[in-house]
Amino acid sequence: MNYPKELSYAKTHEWVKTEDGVSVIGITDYAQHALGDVVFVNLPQEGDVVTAGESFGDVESVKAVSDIISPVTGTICAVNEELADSPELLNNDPYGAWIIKVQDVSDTDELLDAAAYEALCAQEG
Amino acid sequence: MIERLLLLESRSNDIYANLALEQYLAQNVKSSWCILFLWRNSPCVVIGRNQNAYRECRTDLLDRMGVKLSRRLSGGGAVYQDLGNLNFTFCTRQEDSDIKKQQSVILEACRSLAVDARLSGRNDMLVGDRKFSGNSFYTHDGVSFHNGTLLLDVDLKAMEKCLSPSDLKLSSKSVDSVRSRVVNLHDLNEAIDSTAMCKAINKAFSMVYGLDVQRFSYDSIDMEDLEKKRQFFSSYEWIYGKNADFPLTVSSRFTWGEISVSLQVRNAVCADVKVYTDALDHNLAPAIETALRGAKYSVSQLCLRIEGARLDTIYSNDICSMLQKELG
Repeated sequence: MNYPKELSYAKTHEWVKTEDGVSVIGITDYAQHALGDVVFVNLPQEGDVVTAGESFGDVESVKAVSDIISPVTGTICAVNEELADSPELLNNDPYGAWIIKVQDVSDTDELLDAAAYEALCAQEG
Repeated sequence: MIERLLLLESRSNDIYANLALEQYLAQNVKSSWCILFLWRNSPCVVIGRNQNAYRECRTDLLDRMGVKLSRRLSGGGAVYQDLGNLNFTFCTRQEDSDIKKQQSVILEACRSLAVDARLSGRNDMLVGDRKFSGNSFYTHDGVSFHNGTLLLDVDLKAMEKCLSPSDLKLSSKSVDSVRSRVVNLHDLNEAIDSTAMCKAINKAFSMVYGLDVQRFSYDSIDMEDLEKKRQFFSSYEWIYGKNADFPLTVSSRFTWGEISVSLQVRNAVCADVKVYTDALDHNLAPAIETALRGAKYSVSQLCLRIEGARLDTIYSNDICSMLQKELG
């Protein structure tokens, strides 16, 4: 399992990378592994407001439909539309296949660093 | 840890009311509870959350047959149901969910009725190599539910008819169904009907969890909330509108000329219409475009619009028969 050092993590298995006030958000390697093959991604729209701890979309895998929880509060400024055609990118490249970019970000205090997140995943097994 | 088992058998056979009740139970389940909801429906097709209705069935045919079309919250493929199918839903908080245990309730119930049932993968239950139960899963807002079908004595001919889409190759972003060989449990043991299966499940539920089963009280349900949910599940936007964006072109040649009608369907509505024709009547193309723009995408709706457009009957008859032939 891969836990890149430069990213921050939510307990609900999303990753965040914030640069120049924009947060890029995706799901972690652990998450894609737990979900199994992803067959569909319900994406939000540019301009939608997301709230930390609340779902902004969902993914359907061969196992289940599950929420994607936003790790930050802000406004969506970009959506990775490629995932609509190729949902399997979430499995193949979870840290490359970002889902949304968020600007005017607040509420990021509950995020974990890579080591803490890895420890959490080890606990969940 | 599950400390309380609750069972609810639906009093309704309306798919929309039952999907509403399923969602209601999920939103009201408490920590350490496991609610088991058993429900049956009058003839209907239930598609998965992320499917395109038009890729799974002929919606106009379902209308004519009086088969209701619906969309569930959980994922997976399309199923046909009638009163010969029993649905089960296990609702728990996410941390209390134990899919293996929940599935063993169903498998034990089947075994108690002399059916040699086994699990295949995570989603299917089989006897031999034939499927009698499909399972799907949904988690939202800290709640998990796990639902499944049980083929007891379903009309398999109607199933085949209702799950045959038109030959149109609709390109759209959606989840496709997987076909399986199926079996009715009644054909394996004539004593199996919904009453016997409900009883067996009730018993197995208690045995697997080692707890008594209590009845979930109908009186505690907020009927106003339930009605709101039922309206959502029966709405055009939810059933047809989701994942229903696709382009479509039909064309034909008639005595009066050639015609080609291109539709851009968005959320199951004809958002854009382009008509090309070499007919001598220059008003024909714009008249059809105006008539079809904004129509709900179904053959009967499109034909109603054409018939209401005050075209010469030769045009409207020919165009309607083209739409019925190509889209129906």
